[in-house]
Formats: sequence, C-alpha cells, structure tokens
Amino acid sequence: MITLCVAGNGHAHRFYASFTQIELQPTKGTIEVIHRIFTHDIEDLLMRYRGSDGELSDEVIESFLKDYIVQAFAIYSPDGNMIPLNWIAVEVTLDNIFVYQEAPLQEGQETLIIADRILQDLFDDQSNTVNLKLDGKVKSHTFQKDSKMYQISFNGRTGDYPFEN
Amino acid sequence: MIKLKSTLLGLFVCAVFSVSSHAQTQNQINDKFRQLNEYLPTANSYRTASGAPGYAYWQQRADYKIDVTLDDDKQTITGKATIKYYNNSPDPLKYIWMQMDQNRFDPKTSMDKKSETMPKTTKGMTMESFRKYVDERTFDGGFKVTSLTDSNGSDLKNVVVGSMMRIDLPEPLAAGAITEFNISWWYNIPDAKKYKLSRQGYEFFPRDENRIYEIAQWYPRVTAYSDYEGWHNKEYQGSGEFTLEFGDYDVAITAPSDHIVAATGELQNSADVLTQDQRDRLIEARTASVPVFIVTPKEAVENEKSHSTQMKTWRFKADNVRDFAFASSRKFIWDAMGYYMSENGETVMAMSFYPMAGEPLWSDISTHAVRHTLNVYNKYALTYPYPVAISVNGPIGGMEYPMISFNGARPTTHEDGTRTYSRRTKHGLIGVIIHEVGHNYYPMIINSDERQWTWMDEGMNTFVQNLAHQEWKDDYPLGRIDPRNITGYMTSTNQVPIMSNAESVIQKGNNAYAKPATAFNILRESIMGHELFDFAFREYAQRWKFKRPTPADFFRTMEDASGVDLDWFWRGWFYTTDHVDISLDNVRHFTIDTKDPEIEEAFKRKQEMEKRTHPSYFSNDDLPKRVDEFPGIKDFYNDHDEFTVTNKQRNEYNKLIAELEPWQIDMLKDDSNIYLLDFTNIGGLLMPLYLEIVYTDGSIEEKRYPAEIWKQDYNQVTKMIVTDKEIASVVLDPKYETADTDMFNNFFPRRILESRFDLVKEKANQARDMLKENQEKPKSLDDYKKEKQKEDDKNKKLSEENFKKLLDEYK
Ligand SMILES: [Zn+2]
Repeated sequence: MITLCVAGNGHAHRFYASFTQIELQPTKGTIEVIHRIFTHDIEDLLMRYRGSDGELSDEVIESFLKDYIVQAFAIYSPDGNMIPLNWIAVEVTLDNIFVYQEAPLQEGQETLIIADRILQDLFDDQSNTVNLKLDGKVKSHTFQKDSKMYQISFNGRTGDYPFEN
Repeated sequence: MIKLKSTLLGLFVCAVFSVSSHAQTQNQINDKFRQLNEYLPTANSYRTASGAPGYAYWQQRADYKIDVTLDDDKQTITGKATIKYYNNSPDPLKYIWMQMDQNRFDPKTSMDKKSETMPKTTKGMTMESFRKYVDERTFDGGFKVTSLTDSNGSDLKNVVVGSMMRIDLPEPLAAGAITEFNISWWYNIPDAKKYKLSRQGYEFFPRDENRIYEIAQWYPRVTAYSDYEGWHNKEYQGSGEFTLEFGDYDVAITAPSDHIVAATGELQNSADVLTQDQRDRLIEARTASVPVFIVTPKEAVENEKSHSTQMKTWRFKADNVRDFAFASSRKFIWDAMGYYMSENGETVMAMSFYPMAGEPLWSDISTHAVRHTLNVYNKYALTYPYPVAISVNGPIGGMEYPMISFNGARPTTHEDGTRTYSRRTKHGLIGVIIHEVGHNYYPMIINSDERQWTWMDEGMNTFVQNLAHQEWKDDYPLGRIDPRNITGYMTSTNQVPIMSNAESVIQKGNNAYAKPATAFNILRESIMGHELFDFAFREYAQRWKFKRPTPADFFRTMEDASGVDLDWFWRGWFYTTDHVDISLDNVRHFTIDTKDPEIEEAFKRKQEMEKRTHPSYFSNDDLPKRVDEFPGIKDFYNDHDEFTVTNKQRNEYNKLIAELEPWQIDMLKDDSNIYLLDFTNIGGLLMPLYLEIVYTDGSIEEKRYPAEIWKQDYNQVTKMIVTDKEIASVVLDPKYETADTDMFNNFFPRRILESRFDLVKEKANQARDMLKENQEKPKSLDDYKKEKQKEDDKNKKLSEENFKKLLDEYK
C-alpha cells in the first residue's frame, strides 16, 4: 500500500509530471499504452516510501510500478466496463521510466474513459498528460489533482466524466 | 520552356523548371517566416536590436557582510548582515524589496502551504506520513527578524508580505546613490527530507547522531530591480527558482569546531580552521592530476565521534556572485584537485564534500565530474571566473548555488555494511553534478530570470550538460536532447508554449528542459551546424556574463552572431505548440521531352502498350484475322499505328532544330531522370527537409534542404531532383533529426515501421523462462473453458463494482 502525502526531499529537478500515450490500433486490434514518468520523481518517491538512502535497482522500480500503476491508472469502455491492461514491460533509463501496457481493442471502439491519478495521491502538484491517438489524430487531456475522470472520443463527446447533463 | 513527361502515368505534364511551389497568398496572413517583431520588445538604450547590452545598460548591486552562527543542538541559523545597496538605475527608489524565502516554511504565511490542498482520499495514510504532514504544518519555520536599522542605527519601517519584505526608506534613494542597512534574524532549519523542493535544510543520521547541513536561502536577499520589470517582487512558492543581483560577499560562518565547512567563495583563514597537514594537502591538490584527500575518510570517521561543544569561525570571500550558500558537517570527507585554465592562467579548485555513505562512488566520481564540467562549459560559454567549484553530498537531490552545488545520489548500504551501486546510479550522479555545476554558467553568471524563464537556465544548461555527457564517455545515452524522445509530448493538444511563465508551466520537465534543449540540439546539429551555432551561443554568454539577459536578447544574439535568420525557428519552437510532422506524399518520375518525333512517338507507343494490361488484349491473338483473309481491305493505317512518325512531324522537328542554338539542342538530348517530390506539412512546425535517396544501382545520396523551402507555401512544397540515375526509394529525415512525430509517412515507398511499443514487446516476450514454463501442469480444453467462464464472471462483477465505486468517489 502506498501511503499518502509522503514529502519529497527537495530536488531542484523534480517535475511532478507524467506523460501517457494511448494508441488505438484498429489494424492490430490493440490498445497500446506507454507511460513516461521522470526517473527522479519515482526515485525520490521510493526513497521516502522505503525509508532508505540507498539506490534503487530496476527490479525494485518495476515491482513497485506493477502494483502502483494498476491502482493509479485505468481505462473504461463507454459502458463503464474496465478494460484490463496487460503488463508488457518497464524500461528504466537515466531520465525516464517507460511503462508499457496493452489491451485488445473492440471493433469500432473510438471512445475511452480515462482515470489517471499517477502520483497524485502523493504530490499535490502532479500533472499527468494523456494523449489518445487514433489514425494520426490526437486528443489530449491533463489530469491535475482533483481532476475527474475524462472521456475522450473520436466519434462522440469529449469531456469530464461523468457528464454534468 | 522545357516540357516534362511523366514515366509513371503516361501523362504529359507541363511544368516550368522552377517547380518549387505554388504560392498561396492566403497563407501569408499568418506568415511563419514573418520576423518576430510583434513578440520582442522594442530595442532601447539598455538592450540593442542586435541582442547585446545597450550603451546605457545598468543593473543594481548589493554587497553583503554577514556573521552567521550554526547551532547544531537547536538546528538554528542566527545571522547579522550589513547590506550595501547600489542604485544604478535611473529611477529614485522609495523602498527596497527583500526576498524572505525561508518564509515558505512558515505555515502561517506560506503561499505554498495555503495553496496546497488536502488529498481527497485519506486511505493508506500511515501514522508516519501523517506525522510528517502535521509536522510540516506545525514546524516553526520562516525568518524571525530581530532588528532592522539604517547606518545610523535607527529602525527602518518594513512590511512583510508572505515571502517578501518591503523596507521603506526614510528618504528616496536617488539614481546613482548608495545606501547601507543592518538586519539581524534567526530561523529554525527545516529537515530537508520532510519537504518537497526544499532546496536546503539538514539531514539527520541516527546511527551516529550527526547532521549534514546544506544551508541556502538563509539570509534576507535584495530582490532584483531591472529595466524591464522593475522590482521582481513575486511570491516564492518553491517551484520557480530565483532572480538576484550581483555583489561582493564577506561571510564569517561560526560552526561547531569539529565541523568541516564548504561555501561559496575562497576560504580566508585556513590557518585558524585547518590543520597544518590539511593545509599542505590543499597546496598539493592544486597541481595534482587526481583528487587529493584534504580530510581523509579516516579523519571524517573520527570527527563523527567527537561532538565538540567548541565553536570555530570560517571566513569566506566571494566577489561578483549573485548568492551565497554553504554546507557544514562532522561527517564530511573532503577531496580536491586543481584545474589550470590555459585561457586565463588561473587555477580553480574543484572540490567535493561527502559522508562515508557516499563511498566508494563519490571519491571516484565527484571531483572529476566538477572538473569535467568546467572544461566543457568553458568551451561553449565562458571561462569560469571563480576560484572554487564544489559538489556536496547531503539531503538535497540536486540544487545549484554559486560555486557550490548539492547533489544527492549515493550507493546502497547493505546490512553487512558494504556498499554497492548500479550503472544508473553512477551515470545519474555524474549527470546531476555536471548539471548543478553547469548552473554556475546558466544562470549564476549569465543571470537570466529563473522564475520567469525557466527554459533560459534549465533548457540551455540541460543542452550543454548533454554535450558534456558526450565528452565523458562515448556511449552516454542522449536522453533529454534526443529529438525522438520529445515527439509524444509535442503532439499533445493542450501544451503551453515554451515562452510561458515558470510557475504556471505544467509539464515543466518537458517544457522547460527537454523541448528547449532538443531545440538547441537541432539548431546545432542540423540547422546551423557546429561552427555557426557554437560561435553565436558563446557570443550570447560573452555578452551577458554578469548581466541580465531576456529571451529577446538571446534570440537576437543567435541571429546577429551567426547571420542565420532564425525567426521562423523561434516562432515555431518557442511561441507555438505546433509539432513536426512532414509527409513525403509522392515521388513522381519524369524525363525530358526531346521534341524528336522518332523518340517521342516511340515513347508514347511504349506508354500506350504498357496500359494494355487486360487479358482480352492478348487472349484472342491466335484467332484468324479478317484483314488477313481479305488483304484488299488493308490500307496505310493497317501498317502504321497512331504513333507512326509522319513527314510533317519530321519537317517540324528539323525546322525547330535549325532555329535552336547548339546548347538548346544539347538540353533536349539530356536523358536525365527528373523526379518531383511532394511534401505536406501536417504538424505545422516548419523544419528543413533531409533526404536519403537510394538509387536502383544501389548508391545512396543524402540531400539537405533548409526550412526556407517552405517560404512560399508552408502547407505543401514540391522539390525537383534531376539525376542520371533512377531512384528506388526516398526517406525523409532518416536520422530522426527533426523530431518528426509520425515517421510512417516519411518513406517512399511506404514501409512498415516497428514502433517503440513493438520493439519493447518483442524484447519482453523473448525474456522467457522456459524451465518455469515447462513446470506447469498440462490442462484440457474443458478445464480452460470452465476457468474462463469463472474468470469472466468474476471480472465482470469486479469491474462493475469498481466503476461504481470510482463514480461515487468523483461525485
Ligand atoms: Zn537545473
């Protein structure tokens, strides 16, 4: 369980930002998800979380993210069913951590409801940008703290979810 | 006019030789090549139109003389300063604004805390983290000013506004006048690890009950006053950094006598605070080719135990700096190595201070990294003007101050007391040291406004940092300046331009660091070339060292010194959120119309025959023909098809040739292949066209066309290539230089591209453990069907519940 409000350690170069690219691939029949998180953000978080001053191995980072991303990020069909995402891989580089997930794409599906709270339970300034891409078209949304879920659609309504009316 | 004939479609296309584009005047309304004038301020006597400081350029100055005491028992700083303020502006000043950045840690006044919201969901908050949350709000932080007087000892009126203080002067300070005032204060030093972006504070080591202090924003600092903004009185919220004035510092730091102190500036009284041995080692280190211990690990371990109650005073002087910071601890190992700069004959002491927990990494890496930074940045910016450059390991992950930087990375300490570190930790430490020491140049010396224009210090510094990586070791990853890494971010439809205020920038990591650093990389590698770029980039540093540049000064200098018109580039990359996506739509093949009917009619015949692909053109060939049975019905047309050359055509050709000059005849005989390449600009951001052309004979040619190719029409251009060879394929931007976000449309003919996702997936699939796979029990199809039904039911229920729960939460 990740705890709330763990304070960071004052890195001048903490970004409190993640970037997620979701691609609907009708020809492959898949939904591909790539999260890009700044390595510093995760390192500092894990240092706090584990309460140690040591470094972090790629394995520790992966096993943490495997638990964490599932709680913090989800996509849903317009009928409200969660679309389970398969875990593909994690790449840890000096600057960035990339997390890869995948799900089957239903035929004709051009709408997703997205919940993205990556690191928002921990950092108040965290902002998470999501790009949804279909056939070269892109629609973006940035989740700030207290953002609602968000529906992005290429053939219907786009906006905060649930809709007000 | 020379006519072209298409070899692909059998169409005769008429085109003039200068096929560059179809001009479309409606585009000009929003001309991407228009000069930036409406964005840039009008040049004046302070800042010239060429981007240099003007003849009347001025900036304020503040000198500080400070006595400060570090109390290790109570973790407090107590200080007393005399500040001499020079009003070099043409304006009389009725008051002076001070930055009181410690007030950020005062829960009563902090904007930072007030603007923080309590998380909605409190589940999962442990006792430990709740204690921290409460601590943050009860910690008695912030400056306590105990006296503020003018040079006669009379009290000065003042008003504290959050993290700022206004000192009201009894008389306005006239243009050109100098004033002096005295201020005394104290504050509780925060536990650095309890705050995000604390940038300073202490770290406690329970095992030996010692602390490492990294002390900054520790004295009331004069706020910048400039020609373009007046007082930079902006509340400090932690995210934007600082804007400060240059001045001379004379600082006496009193600390426990067994502490080692590292600070901005040169130590003035080494005889009072160091042993004879240590002083000898310092002299040896000046000319050493490897770092020399000034305080050895053994001595540091001894110091850790002593817990002295005596005090010692370390005196430092620093000239022409914009800030002052220091670090102090019993735990410090100290190593040093001189760096002789042939540029000016001076030697800089590159030094590192770190606890045993930093070993064995720190003594190997840190001082080398400091020296390497100076070496590389001296080349691209300016000769380092200060006597020391320091890297300290403590609680702060990475933060820069003049001459001194705080860098956090450490090895792992195992239960048996041994320490190891990974390649990533090592690269990370080298990277962060280069970055923080590099900040001496941007913005400590080239004093841009960090709070307003984060990209000017972070973007430029990240860019030069990556050049330094490349010179450290050949295969250092490109990281943040690789155009391929920024493409995803650049397609987002809700970004803000780089030219946005630092505090309001969302996605700061991409916007203030990665995007500008990538832009500089593209300018240097692809658009301007090393020579022009390096000269102009260095010229900017030379013009603005110890001065205060604005974005306009940088944009103008880069053009002024290189002679390259870059307004289109600044406009696209810094003032818009467009991205790069250029499509190579088509490659059309033509040859020259020779006018010779013998050649042209034969060519037309061939084209016509090539069109006759349907089987019924051939399948009846064997059947007997009526014209053969009754030859009498044959005439001229039976023996001559429609492409037969007539005498009239021959005569016309001869007449034409008789009238032409010999060179014109030669041109008609040219059997070159002519290709028209059609490009569409989908993303909006203009970039040059870099092409890799593969010919049918296997040879490869690279062609590079500048962005000005889009000048007439920036939605669509056609480029003509004339060659005696035949083209097999063309790739646009084969080396991924331009941050093109969609490479699929860059290939002719189109190619299936493996995406980043595919590559990673493949790799992940390969990493299988077959032994483990084989240990699974075999199952029947029926088993699977039952399992699946069970699983489906479970998932459906779970997902319905979760969604409902989530909906409730958001209500
Ligand atoms: Zn930085």
